[in-house]
Amino acid sequence: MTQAALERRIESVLETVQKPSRYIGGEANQVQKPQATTVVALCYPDAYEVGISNQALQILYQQVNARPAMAAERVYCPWPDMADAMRREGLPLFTLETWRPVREVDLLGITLQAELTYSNVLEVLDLAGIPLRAADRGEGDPIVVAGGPSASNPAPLAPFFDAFFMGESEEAFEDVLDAMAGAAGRAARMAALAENPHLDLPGRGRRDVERAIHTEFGIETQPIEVVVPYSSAIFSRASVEVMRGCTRGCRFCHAGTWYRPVRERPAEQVIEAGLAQLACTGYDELSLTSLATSDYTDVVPAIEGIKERMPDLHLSLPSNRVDTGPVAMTAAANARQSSITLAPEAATQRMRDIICKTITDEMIENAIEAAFRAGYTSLKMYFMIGLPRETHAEVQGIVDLGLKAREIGRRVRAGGRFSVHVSASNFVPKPHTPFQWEGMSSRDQLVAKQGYMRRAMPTRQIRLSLHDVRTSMLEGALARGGEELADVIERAWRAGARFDAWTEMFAEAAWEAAFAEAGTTIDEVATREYGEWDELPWDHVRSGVSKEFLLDEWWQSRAEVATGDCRWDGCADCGACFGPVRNKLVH
Amino acid sequence: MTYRITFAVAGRARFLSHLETVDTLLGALRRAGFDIALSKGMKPRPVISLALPRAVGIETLADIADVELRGDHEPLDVGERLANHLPMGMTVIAVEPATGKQAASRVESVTYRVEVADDVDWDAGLAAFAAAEACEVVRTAPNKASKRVDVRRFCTALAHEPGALEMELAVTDAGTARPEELTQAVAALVGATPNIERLVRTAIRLREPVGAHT
Ligand code: SF4
Repeated sequence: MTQAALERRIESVLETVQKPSRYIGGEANQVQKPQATTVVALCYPDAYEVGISNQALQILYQQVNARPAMAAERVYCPWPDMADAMRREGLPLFTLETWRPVREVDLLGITLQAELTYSNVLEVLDLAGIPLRAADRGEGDPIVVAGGPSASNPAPLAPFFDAFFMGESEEAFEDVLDAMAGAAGRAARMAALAENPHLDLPGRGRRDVERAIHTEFGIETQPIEVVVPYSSAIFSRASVEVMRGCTRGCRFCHAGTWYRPVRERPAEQVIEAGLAQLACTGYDELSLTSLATSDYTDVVPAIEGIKERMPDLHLSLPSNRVDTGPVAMTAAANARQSSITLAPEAATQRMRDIICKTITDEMIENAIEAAFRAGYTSLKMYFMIGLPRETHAEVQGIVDLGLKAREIGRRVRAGGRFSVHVSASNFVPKPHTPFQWEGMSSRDQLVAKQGYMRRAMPTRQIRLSLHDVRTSMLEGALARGGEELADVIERAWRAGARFDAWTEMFAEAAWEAAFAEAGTTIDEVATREYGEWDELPWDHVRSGVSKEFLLDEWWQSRAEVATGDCRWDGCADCGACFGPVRNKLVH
Repeated sequence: MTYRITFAVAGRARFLSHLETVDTLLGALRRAGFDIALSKGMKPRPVISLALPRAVGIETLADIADVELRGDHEPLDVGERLANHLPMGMTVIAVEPATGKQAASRVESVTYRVEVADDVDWDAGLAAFAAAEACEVVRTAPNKASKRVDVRRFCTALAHEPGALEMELAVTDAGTARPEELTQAVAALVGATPNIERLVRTAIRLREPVGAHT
């Protein structure tokens, strides 16, 4: 089929599907380089509106396009109506920039941000016409590379990828791009990638791979001219990453290990980058992003500097510490917002010591009060249930804190309107965290705890939202599973699983049957505990944080003792700092 | 000051929804350095309205948006700067100061060009249509009961040329007809089902001279 014929057929299919703008490309700041000699397709394996705002892919888009002879083009997972129409019409998956078939690119990079997108990885490969298993690919096929946080346990998807890139792309992915530019053909390129210390190559056996770290974290790697999504995207705002890494050490948090150590950008650079991005995107909102923006040393000068130049700008500061200072800061940054989110994660001091969330009851209550005093009318609080060694007291604690928040709201708002929104997700143990050895709480336990919360939580002025236990269990199974899961994932996808994170799409029966065929169940894999001496499927992936440190932290959690933050309380010797890599605060 | 922007949407951009079109215009104006006025109230919103929504997939040669910008600008300058920031497929046709009531409340009629395969005897269809007193089609919409609509009463002009029908449809308090409905209705009069290849909105006529005070 000629390119023109392909385009005509795509257009006629677009007449028939929902939200066709997901597939058209052409947004502001999109880069088209039809003359490029090497093409890298960057894929987020979920719907356009979910994937388009992903910052890691924006960084890669800029990084690849900075090379004159290389083009980066975007791909998302077509929604089932589109996928079905493409199969019916025999249309291959295409990139947004040029509508070229994905199979024709040189490298297909797929970001793994969440386990519940794994079935979509196979959907993307299949729609592209690329053999699912790396072993079946030939010279005409692209090299398929995974990246992103969930690549840190490559085992469940190992046979489907040629390589897994571990860590941050800004510096180390240059070597991968050099290998692509320097060699022609799949075999020669794979040979050029063979010695890369940050690539796990499942086809070449198991060896240690190191997480790549962007040591300098200079402002030049912050994308400015980002693609502006059509309005359907989940985030439509400018964003500047002010800090990478977090050393608070929450023991459930994968990012807390995976992005160590902490690196910050100075306020003046953040201000300049933010204003530049606003100007060339036309956004009316700017987000200062990081894992915990209130911990960023220059947060006040950055907010003040931006507000000075753009007083009406809607500034958002995600993921803030539960305390009065950050609440006041959030309120000052954005006077228009009527709701605020606090994430105590656990409601009792005992559980917060277990998970190493170093906040007190008093801090939480003061933060709630400060939020209502600042004029917020909607307060959201995030918790987890199913955490290790959880008792009834912890679950009751969430209910009590919901009630406490309502009581404070009634007192402070004095008859005015307000609402409290309590959200409890199901804890899923993740690799490379101190809880990596823990099994997930059983399905029955989670269901019973949710049932209790629904009965015990009053509904007046309090809204309770709970996560689907079925998808949480699957996430748990996929997160810490080994290579034996690859067949399971393929079987589930063949039986219709895709878009598993979308509750209405979740094909539970397909997954159950796929696990059953492997002689196991979702729950058995999800609740599996590992022993201290067990070899873990991801042990060969070196995050920089030592296994000894994680083990020590696991013991500390059992002793119900929290560990301090190394930014302020001294180095805990986690192993992440070596040579030039260390906590790099602006002051 | 409020500006009336006439713009075209062609090619792949026709797959943008109404809301996406509005957001795309706003984003382009901001990138061009304009400050868009906000509505008053608890949730201020940019002051913009389109004369008519456009169904996904339909191209347009001349849609109309009224948008209020802070400060005084030469309409020509607004047009030139906006043109540089619109995405592929969207173009500025004209910009003029908007006076009087907003365009959205004054749409009198809309003209369309419907490109069709010539496997239907269109001239016979048009003759039958002109002779008919009424011409009903069944209108269906998701989650709504289907209803019968007389499209004849909304059609103020209809002509056939090789490969296309040109039509003008009145927009009234009682509603309007869709170009594909009219095309189907005409074809049905000669026992045929039309094959619509392309749908282009060619003009939106406003009820009083553009710019007149009310
Ligand atoms: S090595 Fe020490 S200072 Fe560096 S991140 Fe780990 S605990 Fe913090």
